[in-house]
Amino acid sequence: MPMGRRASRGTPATRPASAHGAVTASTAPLRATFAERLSPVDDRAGAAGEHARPCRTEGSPARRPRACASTLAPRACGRQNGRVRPSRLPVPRCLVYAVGFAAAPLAAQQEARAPAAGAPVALAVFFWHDAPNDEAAFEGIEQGLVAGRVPHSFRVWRADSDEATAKRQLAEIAASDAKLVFAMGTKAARLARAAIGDRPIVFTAVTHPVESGVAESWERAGGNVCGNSNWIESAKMLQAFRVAVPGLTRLGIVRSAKNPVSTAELRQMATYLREPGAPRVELADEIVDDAGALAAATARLRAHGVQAVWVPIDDLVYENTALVLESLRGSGIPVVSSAQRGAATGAALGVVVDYRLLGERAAALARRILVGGAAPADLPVGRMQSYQIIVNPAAAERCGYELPLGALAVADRILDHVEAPGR
Amino acid sequence: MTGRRRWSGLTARMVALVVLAAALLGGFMWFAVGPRTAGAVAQATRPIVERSVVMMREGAHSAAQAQAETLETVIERTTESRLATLADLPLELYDGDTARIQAAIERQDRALAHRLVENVARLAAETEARAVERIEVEAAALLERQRELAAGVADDLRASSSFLLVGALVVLLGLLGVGLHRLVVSPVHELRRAMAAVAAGRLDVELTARGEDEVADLVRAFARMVAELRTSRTELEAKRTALAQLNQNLETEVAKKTAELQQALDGLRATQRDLVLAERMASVGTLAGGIAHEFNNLAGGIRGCAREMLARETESDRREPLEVIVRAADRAIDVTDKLLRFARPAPAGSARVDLGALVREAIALVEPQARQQRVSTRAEVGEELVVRGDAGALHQVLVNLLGNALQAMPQGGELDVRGVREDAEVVVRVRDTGVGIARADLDRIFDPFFSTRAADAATPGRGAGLGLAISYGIVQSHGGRLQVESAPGAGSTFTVRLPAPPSAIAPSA
Repeated sequence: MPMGRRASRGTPATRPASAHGAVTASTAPLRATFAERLSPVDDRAGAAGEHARPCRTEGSPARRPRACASTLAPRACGRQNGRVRPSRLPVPRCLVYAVGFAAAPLAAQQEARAPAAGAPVALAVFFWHDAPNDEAAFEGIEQGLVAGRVPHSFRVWRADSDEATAKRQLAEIAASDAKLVFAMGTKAARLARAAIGDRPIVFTAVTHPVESGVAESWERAGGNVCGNSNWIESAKMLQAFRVAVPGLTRLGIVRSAKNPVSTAELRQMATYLREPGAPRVELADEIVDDAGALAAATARLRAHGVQAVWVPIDDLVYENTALVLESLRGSGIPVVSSAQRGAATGAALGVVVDYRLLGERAAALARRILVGGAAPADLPVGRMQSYQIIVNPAAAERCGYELPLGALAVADRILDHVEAPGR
Repeated sequence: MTGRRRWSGLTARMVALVVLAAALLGGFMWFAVGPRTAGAVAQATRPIVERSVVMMREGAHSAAQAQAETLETVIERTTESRLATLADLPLELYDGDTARIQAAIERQDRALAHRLVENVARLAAETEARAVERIEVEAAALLERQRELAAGVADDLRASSSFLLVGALVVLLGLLGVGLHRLVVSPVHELRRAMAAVAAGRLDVELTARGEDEVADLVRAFARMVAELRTSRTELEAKRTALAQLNQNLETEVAKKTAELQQALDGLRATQRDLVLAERMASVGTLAGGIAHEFNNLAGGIRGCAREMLARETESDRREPLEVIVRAADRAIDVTDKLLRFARPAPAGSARVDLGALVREAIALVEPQARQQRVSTRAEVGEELVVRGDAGALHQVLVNLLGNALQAMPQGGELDVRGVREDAEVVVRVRDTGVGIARADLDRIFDPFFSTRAADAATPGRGAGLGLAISYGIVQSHGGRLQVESAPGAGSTFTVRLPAPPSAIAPSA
């Protein structure tokens, strides 16, 4: 159902239900959805959690593939813009339909083994903006609900970074019959917590829920909120950075003063470096107010003799990683980033969590609430133990830096080009 | 035939020199430059080979080290990642279904394995690419080094070649120069020098032609020309010598004749002068003799009368004037006697007279007077100064001459008398260093009563101007001549020339 951005703004998108959920609004073939649900292993294994993407009918037409709207086939919805790798085994649509029909009996058997079969649970999904990591987390949520055999139906709201739209959409969510709300990302979680208090809110992909005001503490989010974070411990992050830059002793960071997440990242890193046994790494901090100051800040770090420049989870910085990269062109100083966007747009090495796995963990939280009857307030904010390493030899080469072979060997993803800013 | 000879001459030698130089150059290239070049190339490429070996060793070592580090990193990261991922897996979603949990873990492991396989492929490609890049960089460096070394070798060779070329050129030019000098320049120079000598009139040059070339032909032709010139010149010289001899003989003859004529003329002049003097003296003598004769008669009559009157006079007052008259008459008779001896000298005797002895006697006679006047005397008289004549008269002549000489040296001087025999004459020269005689007085010096000084009353007879006239007359009467040479302030020389008598005559005094 192709819809223009203006016409669709604020209109919730319905999502075909899984094998256990109801389809509230969809023109997609049901058998194809069954086939998708019945082959979750293939989804994850084949695309490493990156290629499958939940179809949606809300949002900008430019970001909504037509194939997705018409077929709802996850593989056909895979982005081909280079940010993620293309599917290794692209499956033609007809084959998907055929598999779907053929797998229908197996789906029936699976349904028979489901512990709790019932009416699909209406679930609301709220996006503040369109972000690949949020989308990956949403895919993980969907995968997790399927794996947990939670019948559900999704209604998706996308605010497109517009406060008014967000406010209206949250009002609609509050008025809807959704039993649980998934808040995708920090901003969405903060707005959802402020707007909705009568039903559970499970947030995910929130880097620092405490610093951002989403949760009261890491042990207990408080209220009707629970969720998990994509926060990576400084020790692990630095360990990953040193994979890219062995013998790293002087690390520069560029951040904006207003961003609490990057501030928290820096503070935690500094705290860690003061711990006994921590590597001796000097931090050089440069604070900028706008993107125009990034070049000068990077030049100062370069003059300071840093061996790498860290682009933290700071939208002002990671959205302009290209400027940082340009300032470091040919310097032999690579960019490392803890933000997935930064890793895609210029970092030689990025350290991120597996957002799909993060979404699955969010689905598990939702299952505890929906199936197990757990109270959100009693659940701790989940944190990931694992992380992924994204290396970009092209970005490293642009800096005049040669990544060690070890970085290539341990990379979870290897990007072959530097993504243009703004995509 | 000429062309062939020329080809076998100078040109052939030049060609031989060039071939010799080329052979030397080729030999040097073969035995010196070739081995040196091979050594230089081997020396220059040795660092490249060594560097290649080092590079390969380092590459192998670094590759092994990188692989080990990479494997270590992969093992650590994989283990850690797997454990962390397993910890992150929401296994509660499977409600304890072991099979599903196992499937989920297996799925995760397969994903990890799959990723590792992909990474290994990527790693292999990247390793290869980096190795290739490193090898290319090293190869480029080696190539650059090779180019530098090659450039160095080329520079060395270029320098060596330049030196060699310069050396060969110098040798070649030297050989050519020596050859040209020996074959062309030296003969031409020798020829030019010979030409210059010939042009300067020296025909005694010796030219040796070597070889059969053009220059040798030229030298031979010039040598022939010089020989012909030399012959012509010899003949010419002989003719010229003969002519000069003739001229010299002629001049000698002319001079001889002239001298004879001059001698004859001098003789004639002397004879003329003697004749004139004799003529004049004869006239004077005749006149003086006539006067003296008449005056002597008168003075004799006066003196006789005075003597008779004095004999008869007793009165002293009257006797004194008579005595004065007698003495004056005596003096007058004495003067007239002298005049008569001058005018009619006594014929010279034929007695043999030793003129040397007369000279010594005369000198002894005037010696006291000479000492008184501080006049030194010297006499050199030969042994054979014998004449025939009147010894007394000749003694008077010598005394007169010596007395005149002393009178010419009142302040002292030298008196030199020499008596020699010259040819057929006996010559006595009386030389003084006195005041000399003026030129105008010389012609009249033998005239009677001519004197260059005033009469001395204390010495009557002296200063009357009759001494030289009498002496002249005496010498004349002996067949000789009395001559005078004098100049004012330079003294005077009176020469008595008397004919020498036959040697058999014995002297009388």
